[in-house]
Amino acid sequence: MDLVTAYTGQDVALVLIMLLMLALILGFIAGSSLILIWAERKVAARIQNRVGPMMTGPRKFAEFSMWTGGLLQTAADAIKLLVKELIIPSKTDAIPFIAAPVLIVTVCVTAYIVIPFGPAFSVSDLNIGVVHVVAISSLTVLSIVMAGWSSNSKYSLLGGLRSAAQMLSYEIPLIFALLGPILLAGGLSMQKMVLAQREYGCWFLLPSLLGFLIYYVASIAEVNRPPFDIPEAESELVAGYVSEYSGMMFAMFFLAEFANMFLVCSVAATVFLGGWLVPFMPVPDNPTPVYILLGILTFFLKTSFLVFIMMWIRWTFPRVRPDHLMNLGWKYLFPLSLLNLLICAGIAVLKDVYKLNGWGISLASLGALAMVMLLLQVVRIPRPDTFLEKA
Amino acid sequence: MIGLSHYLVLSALLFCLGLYGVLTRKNAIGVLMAVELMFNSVNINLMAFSHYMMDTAGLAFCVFVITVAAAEVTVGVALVLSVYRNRNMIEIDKLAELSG
Amino acid sequence: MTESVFFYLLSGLVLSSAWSVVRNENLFHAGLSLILCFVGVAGIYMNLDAPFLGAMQVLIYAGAIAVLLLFGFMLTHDLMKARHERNQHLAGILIPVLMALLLVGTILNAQWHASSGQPVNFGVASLARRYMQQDLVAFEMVALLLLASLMGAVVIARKEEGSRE
Repeated sequence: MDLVTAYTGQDVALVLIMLLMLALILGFIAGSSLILIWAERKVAARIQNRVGPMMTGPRKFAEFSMWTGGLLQTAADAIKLLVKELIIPSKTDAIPFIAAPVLIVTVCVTAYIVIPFGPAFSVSDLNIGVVHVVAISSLTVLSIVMAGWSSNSKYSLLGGLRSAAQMLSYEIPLIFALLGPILLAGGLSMQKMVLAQREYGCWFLLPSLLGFLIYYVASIAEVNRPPFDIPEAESELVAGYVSEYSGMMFAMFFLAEFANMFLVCSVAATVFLGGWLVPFMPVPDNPTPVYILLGILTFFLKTSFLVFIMMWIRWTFPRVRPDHLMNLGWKYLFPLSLLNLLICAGIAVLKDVYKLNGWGISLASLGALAMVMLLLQVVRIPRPDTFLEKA
Repeated sequence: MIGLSHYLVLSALLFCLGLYGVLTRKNAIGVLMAVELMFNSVNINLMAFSHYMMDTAGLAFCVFVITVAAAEVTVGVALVLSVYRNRNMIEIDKLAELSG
Repeated sequence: MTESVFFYLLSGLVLSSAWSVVRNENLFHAGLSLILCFVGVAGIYMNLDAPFLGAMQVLIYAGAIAVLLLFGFMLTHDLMKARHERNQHLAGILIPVLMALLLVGTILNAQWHASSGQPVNFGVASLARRYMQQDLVAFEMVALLLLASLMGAVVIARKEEGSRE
């Protein structure tokens, strides 16, 4: 069941099924965002030595009430935002102003269709899967630019300009970091990426460790989360491009932020951490129901772990300055992602020539990494601030 | 049934719309946008021929055109910014010192 | 059947948004229509069995080029000040209309020979094989062009020495 066949084939029913699937994804996004927002507040509270929301929700058992007590807080907030008045300020450019939050959620839903939640468990396994995710989520920046310009406010405009520059720059290392695993897998389909990791006998995290780190940093910048949240830096720009939004339109931006975070983490989990492959367990050729359930569970565990680290980073590091951000993207991540591509190509050749198994590939990648570290010691890349003073 | 000529007519119309924009827009950014329309019409043309003549040459060319368009826009926007910084406007009919 | 329905829908989208790109008096709205037009063209590629090209179209045209143009527009304009002057009215209408008549007339009158060859796969693998074999020189030249334009853009757009605040 492929979007393209649904698109060019004759069957209208197939298109209807696709629409139903999209509705399911929308439900999944809304549900997971509620949980993610709760988790974010709880993690923030832990890091700041507080307890976080603990009143709205089941409080029957005193020992657990600290954790379960806040579970319904996000739902209550969502209901509050839903019933609030939608304010469209009189000097705004109304059509883009309303279209921006709709677009950002639409883009997010469309990008989700290729994510493999389990064995044979994705809405549509397009054979351009990875490119599809990257291409569709590159439209997010458009929504932010639309919101920034049409709000007719200087804070929104500055936020929109900053985010356009930031997201265009960080898309490049993001895509280049994904190229390494694509090269190893020999295809773009998401399920194929997972199956290729089974065939290699090790996660692509090892051959492209550099790529994973670059992808992770670039994706934090891509979803505008701290420490790269300069488009919506609240201490400088009120709330950046969302300053003028209220009620449900604000909630849609909020929802999209968390849904995008889950999206980039699930792509990272699929491409670098083996997706639904359960560690230390042989994969049957025709997955049994038990294995499918375990696979889905594994996928969500890996993704949640990455999401947790993103939250941890958010509440730990201070915001990066815009010029340092550009320096990091163009002068460090981009060249390093090219280096990562080179390493991956080398390992793919090694595997083909010497028929390496998982252990061999792991050893080879560790060797390559050691060589990179040695190289970085010899070359001595200057730090960003020294770069600036010379410029 | 949709044939080659349908795509070619679409591409021709898109090209002429782009041409109209290039000729009448005063703002340099507007001209660049219209040029992009013309690039796209060429791409539709190439891809339609590629599909109906069963040859990947058109597809390969399309990717080249997209790449060149990206390079062209980068330099174009940089030029526009540079002109704006020096002259504080980007109306192209007023940038005519060299036309004698 | 579906192909023709999608073709007409997408052509309507592409042509109407292209009209808005060249005619809209608000340049920001023109830029947004440009993005709509690019997405429509991506749909046309999907209709022509080239999903990879469609994704590339969305990624590079709609996600990067159009946003870069909007970025340039936002940097060079005062907030919300639309300018709608035009020049070369007569030539601007006459030349495209004549050209459209000529092109459409030629296309409709020509005899197009459908190929008798085997259907080819427009997948990524065949494209890659082509780039690494027959089109290798062109591929490398495009890479060089990209590098040159990257450096050129940096040099052109950079502020003068010492004017950095």
